[in-house]
Amino acid sequence: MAKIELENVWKRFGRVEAVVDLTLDIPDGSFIALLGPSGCGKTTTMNMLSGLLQPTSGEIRFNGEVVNDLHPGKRNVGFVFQNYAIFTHMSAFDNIAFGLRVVRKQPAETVEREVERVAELLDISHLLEQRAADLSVNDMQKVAIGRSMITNPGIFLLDEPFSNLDAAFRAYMRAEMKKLQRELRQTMIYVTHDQVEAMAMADHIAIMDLGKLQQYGTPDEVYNSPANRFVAHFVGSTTMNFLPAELGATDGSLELRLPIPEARPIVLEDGSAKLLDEKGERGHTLGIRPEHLELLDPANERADARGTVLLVEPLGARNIVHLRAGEIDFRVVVPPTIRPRVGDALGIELERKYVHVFDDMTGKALR
Amino acid sequence: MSTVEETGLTAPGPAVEPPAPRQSPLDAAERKLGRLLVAPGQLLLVLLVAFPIVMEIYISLTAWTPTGGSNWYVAYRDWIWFDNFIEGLTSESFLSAVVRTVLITIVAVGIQFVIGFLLALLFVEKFPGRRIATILFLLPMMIIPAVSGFIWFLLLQTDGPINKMLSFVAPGDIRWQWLSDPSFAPVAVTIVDIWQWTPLMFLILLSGVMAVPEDQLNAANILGASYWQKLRHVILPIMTPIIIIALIIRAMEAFKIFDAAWLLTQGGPGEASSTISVHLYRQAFINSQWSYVAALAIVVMIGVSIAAAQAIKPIERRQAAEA
Repeated sequence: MAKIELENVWKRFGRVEAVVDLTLDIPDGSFIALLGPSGCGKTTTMNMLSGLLQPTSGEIRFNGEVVNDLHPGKRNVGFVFQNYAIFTHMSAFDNIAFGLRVVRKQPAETVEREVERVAELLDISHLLEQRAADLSVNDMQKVAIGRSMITNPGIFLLDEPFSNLDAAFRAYMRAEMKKLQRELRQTMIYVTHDQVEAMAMADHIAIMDLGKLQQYGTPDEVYNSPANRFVAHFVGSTTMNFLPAELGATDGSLELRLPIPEARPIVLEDGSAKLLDEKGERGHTLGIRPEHLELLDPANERADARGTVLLVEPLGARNIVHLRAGEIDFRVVVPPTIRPRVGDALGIELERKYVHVFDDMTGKALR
Repeated sequence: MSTVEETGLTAPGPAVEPPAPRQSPLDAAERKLGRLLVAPGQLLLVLLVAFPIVMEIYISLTAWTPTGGSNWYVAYRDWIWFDNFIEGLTSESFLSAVVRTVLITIVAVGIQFVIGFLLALLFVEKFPGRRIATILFLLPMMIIPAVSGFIWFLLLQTDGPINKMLSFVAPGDIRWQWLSDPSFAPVAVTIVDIWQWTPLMFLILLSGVMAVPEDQLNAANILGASYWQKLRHVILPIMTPIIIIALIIRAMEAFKIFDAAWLLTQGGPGEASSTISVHLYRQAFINSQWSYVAALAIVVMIGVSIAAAQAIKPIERRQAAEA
C-alpha cells in the first residue's frame, strides 16, 4: 500500500526532454491510467517510478519518502512489461517463484503454496510445469503478472501490458485486473495509449503529451470537461468535432458564429460572455462531441445549421453519420434506428451544455 | 601429408545433425541440374578432405618414409598393420606429450574463460572509452602466432623484460629460467596461449552477454535480485550454449598448440614442453617417421572428435527439449 507523489519531475536524455515538470499525486490504493500517444513520456515516467531510470530533477516520493535514488528492488513495486520479459529458460513455476525463492530465499513450502495461490488467482495452475517460452502470449503475460504479484508489492506498475494480446483476451484481462485491484487494494498505475482502456479501468486518468501532463482527472472529468484541445481530441472513441468560430457578446451571453451559410449563431447564456473580455479578439474553436449533436428534419426551426449526408458508418450499436454543411464536416453519432441515406439534407442541433470553446493560440479550453 | 596441420589434427568437428529430408518440389531434370551444379564443390571437398584422410590411413598401416626411396603409393610393400599405432600408444614421449597438452589446454582455456567472462561482464556496461578498450583487448588475437611467439621468446629471456619487471614488484633480483627450466617451460607456453587467445574468448562471451535480453534483467532488478542472483539465475542459464561453444572452440585450438611451444622452446628443455603437435612435428620432419606420425594423427583425431561430441551434448539435449 503506498501513496505516490511526483513533484516537478523532469527527465532529459541529452537535449531531449522526455518528461517535463510533472507533478502528480496518486492516493494510496487508487487505480491510475497514464494515457498518451507514443513518445509522450508515459513509459519514461513508469521507469522512473520503478527505479530503472533516475529523474534529472524533481522528487518522487512513496509514502512521503523520497525514492529518487532507491534501487528498483528496494521500492516494493511490481512491474509488468509490455513484452512480458519473462525468464524464457525457466518453467512458468520458476518464473512466478523467482521473487520469493531466489531473492527472498523463502522455504520451499512457502514458495509452493504462494505460487499455487497466485496461479489459481490467474487461472494458470495447469501451466506451471511448462517451459515459459512455450506458452501462448496470453499465458506469458499472466505468468508475468503472477511473477510481479507474488511479492505483494505496494505499487503495481503495468506498462501497456495487454497491447500485444488479442482483442477478446484484452477485454477479459481488463476486467480481471480491475477486480484484482479491488481485491488487493494496491496502488496501480497503468500505462496505455488506448483511451478506451484508460476510461474503462482507471479511477483517475493522467493524460500526457510531449512529456507534459495535459490533464489529471476522473474519466468523467477528462471526457466531459477536457482541459485543452489535445485532451478533447485524444479522449472519446469518435473524435470530437472542431469548428472555427467567431466569438461575440450580446447582453451578457456569449455568441458563437460558425462559418456556415444560413447557420444560426450559438448563444450560450450561462455567463460565458466574461470569457470574451479576458481573451479579446483571438481566434477560437468550438468543440462538440459527435454524440452531442442531434439530427433534425431540415425544416425544423431548432436546427442550428443544415447539411447533406456524405457517408454513414453503421457500427451495429450506433451509426456514425458524416455531414457537410457549407465547408464544414460534422460527425454525428446516432442510435442504430436512425440511418439516413447519402445525399439527404438534414438539420443539425448542438446541445448547448456540451459546447466547448478552445483558444486557438494556447489550445486551452475556455469552457 | 606434408605439414603438421594436415595430419588430421584439424578434426572435422562434431557432426551436425542433418535436417530431416523434405519433399522437394523439383522434378527429375531440375534435380539433375542441381547435382551437376554442386559437383565441382563436392569434387573439391573429396580432394581436400577425403583424399588426405584415406591416404593417411593407408600410410599409417605401413612403414613407409619419404627418405626410403619409394613413392607413397607403393607403401603397401612395407605393410606392417597396426605396429605404428602400438608403438605410438606405448611410447612414453607421445603419452607424456598427450598428458602435457591436456593439462596446458585445461589450465589455459580455464583461465581464458574466467578472464574473458569477467571482461565480457564488465564490457556490457557502457563506459567512456569502451570501443577503444575493446579494440586494444582484441589486439593479441590479431598478431600472427609465429610473431607473438617470437615476441614472447624475447620477453621471457632470463635477462628479459618480464624478469626485470617482476624484480621491480618482488623482492630480490628475479632471474627465472622461463625457457630452459623444465618446470617453467610449460608455464611459459601456457602464458603465451592465454595472452593470445583470451581476446577470442572475450569476444565470443561478450556477444553472448549482450544477447541476454535487457528487459529480463530489468525484471529481475525490480524483483530485487542482486547482481550475483542475476548472474546465477538469468545470465548464466541463457548463456550456457554459447559458453560451451566457446570452450569447445578454444579447447580444440589449444589442443593443437604448436607455434608458441615451438618458437619458445622447441618442446624443450628435453621434452619438458613438448605438446602433441611438437612431438608429431619432430617425428615427421626431424626423424622422418611419416607413417608413425600418420597413425598418431588418426589417434588424436578420433580422441578430439569423441571429446567434442561429448562436450556438445548438453546443447543438443537443450535443443531437443526446445523442439
